[in-house]
Amino acid sequence: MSDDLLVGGGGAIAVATVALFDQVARLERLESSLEECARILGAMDAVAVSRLPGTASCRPALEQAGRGVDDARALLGLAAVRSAHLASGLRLSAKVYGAGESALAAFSERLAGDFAAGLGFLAARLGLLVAPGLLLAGSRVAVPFTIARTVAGTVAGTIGSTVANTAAGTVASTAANTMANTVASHATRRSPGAGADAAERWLAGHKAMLSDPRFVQLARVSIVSLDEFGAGAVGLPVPVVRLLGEDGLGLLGLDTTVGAVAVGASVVGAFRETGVRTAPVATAPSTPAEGFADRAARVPSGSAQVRVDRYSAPGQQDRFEVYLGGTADFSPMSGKEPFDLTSNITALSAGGQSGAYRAVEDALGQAGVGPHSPLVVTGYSQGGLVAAQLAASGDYDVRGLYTLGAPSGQVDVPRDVQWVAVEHTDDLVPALGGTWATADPVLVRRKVFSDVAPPPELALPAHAAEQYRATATLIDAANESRLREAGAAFDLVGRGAESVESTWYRASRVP
Amino acid sequence: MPQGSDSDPWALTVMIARSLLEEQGAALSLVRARLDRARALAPTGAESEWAGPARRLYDAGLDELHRSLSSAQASVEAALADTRRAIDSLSGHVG
Repeated sequence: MSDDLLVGGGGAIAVATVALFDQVARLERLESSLEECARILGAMDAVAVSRLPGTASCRPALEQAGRGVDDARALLGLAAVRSAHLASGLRLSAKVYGAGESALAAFSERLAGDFAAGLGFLAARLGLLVAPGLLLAGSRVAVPFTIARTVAGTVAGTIGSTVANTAAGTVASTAANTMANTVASHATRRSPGAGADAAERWLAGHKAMLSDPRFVQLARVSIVSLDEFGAGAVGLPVPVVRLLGEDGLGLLGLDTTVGAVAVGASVVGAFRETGVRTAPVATAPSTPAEGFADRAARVPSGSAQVRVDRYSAPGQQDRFEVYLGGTADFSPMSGKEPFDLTSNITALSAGGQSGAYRAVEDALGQAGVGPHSPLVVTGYSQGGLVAAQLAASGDYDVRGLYTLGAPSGQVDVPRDVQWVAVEHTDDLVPALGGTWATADPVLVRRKVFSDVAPPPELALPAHAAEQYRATATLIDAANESRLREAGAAFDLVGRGAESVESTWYRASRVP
Repeated sequence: MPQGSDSDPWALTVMIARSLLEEQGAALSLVRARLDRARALAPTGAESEWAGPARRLYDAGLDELHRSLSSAQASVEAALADTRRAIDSLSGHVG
């Protein structure tokens, strides 16, 4: 597994690994040290003593020493310049890489959109327009259950299968993936159970692909192009589709797509939102959170979905940190669990607040978090998506946002919110949130399975909470300025606290 | 004429010269120690998947940097040795 962290964003163009940024810092310190040494040597007149009367005997040695000092000073000056050049070169490379990556991402997104629109147009003309509908109908029960069955047992907190299905459908749309045809054809000819079997077989044979960073990137770009597929299918020309898209009037987007899925699925009772009831289940004294690993470790993983830490000091306003867990129920049908697929779909679609979001709002209200209470929010997977939405809502004074494996790329978090987003490049889940839209978090990326193959028994091994906790430990060890600044801003909320009280909340859906 | 270093202007000069040279040696030792510490800061290469022409240029630049540092260290070491040799020669003169 790789310990190399790729860091970008946070108001800077530069993108590079933490190791490279560390080398920049070391080269800059080296330059400074060498200049200091050269300055000491420059102030030295090694031959001066030999000008004193009666010291002629030492003159040859001192003349040699003087030449040595001059040589050393010149070499140190040269080395200092080389250090500076290397540091500048590294910084420039990081900026060029970052700019290139941004340009490539924008180009890929536009290309995927145009391609999807063209494909939709062709599909409609070829009579294949029914395919997405069939895909939806057939997979309504089959694919979510299939992925849920595979994922639920192995990965806690995965955002969910229907979104995965959406991505798969997108990739299918753009890359003519056979999964779509398989599921669609099974849906037309067989029962949902048969569709589930087919999808399960497909998944069993393609688990490794789900953890392939190229597939993950394709899904990220494709998922925001489903709407273009639909627009193309109804015959809109590509320039019009562009005009309607996120780079134009913003009428088309990921939320439109997922919203359409939700509307379609609601016909058969899936993804139906309900009321939510939230109650505290445990309270305990605690200590202020310190660092990224500590915060990642505080994310709830049991029956409680929300943890709120209250920092108190006499005469001061209470400050809070909230920790949000991931998806706990992968069924497309709403049950008692609000951190479920329905919440994922609601959160990713336009308008409306998911059950999970309302549960967190309830918990915050019960904890005494007001609109002006300083707040740091940490969330994993769906919890990260909710965390980003809290920060974007403007209803809270969010001072820090820390998301782990969250599909939150399209959430419009204000840029003045200090946000560290952690993603594994071989984790499909954050990619299901689409490309990064308007927000500009400090984005930390890591490929978990770079040296070894992903374990075949897990559907999305790089999404496991333990992998994100491991990455958080690497972040703490990283000597990168943006991460240091963000970490300091997070820790600031707990500074001076004389007591910390943690409360865990359990939320349930109510009919 | 009284005997001893207090009254021998040459001996006094040599003593001052020796003291100055010892200060020079101490300064060079300080530079040598700082250089040793600075040398530890110099990266030995990027342990990452970074590849391509920029990576090759960077590695070549690091090689040149290390060569410059080695030469600078050798020059400081030589200057220090010459300074000590000068001190020894002064001692011989006095003796």
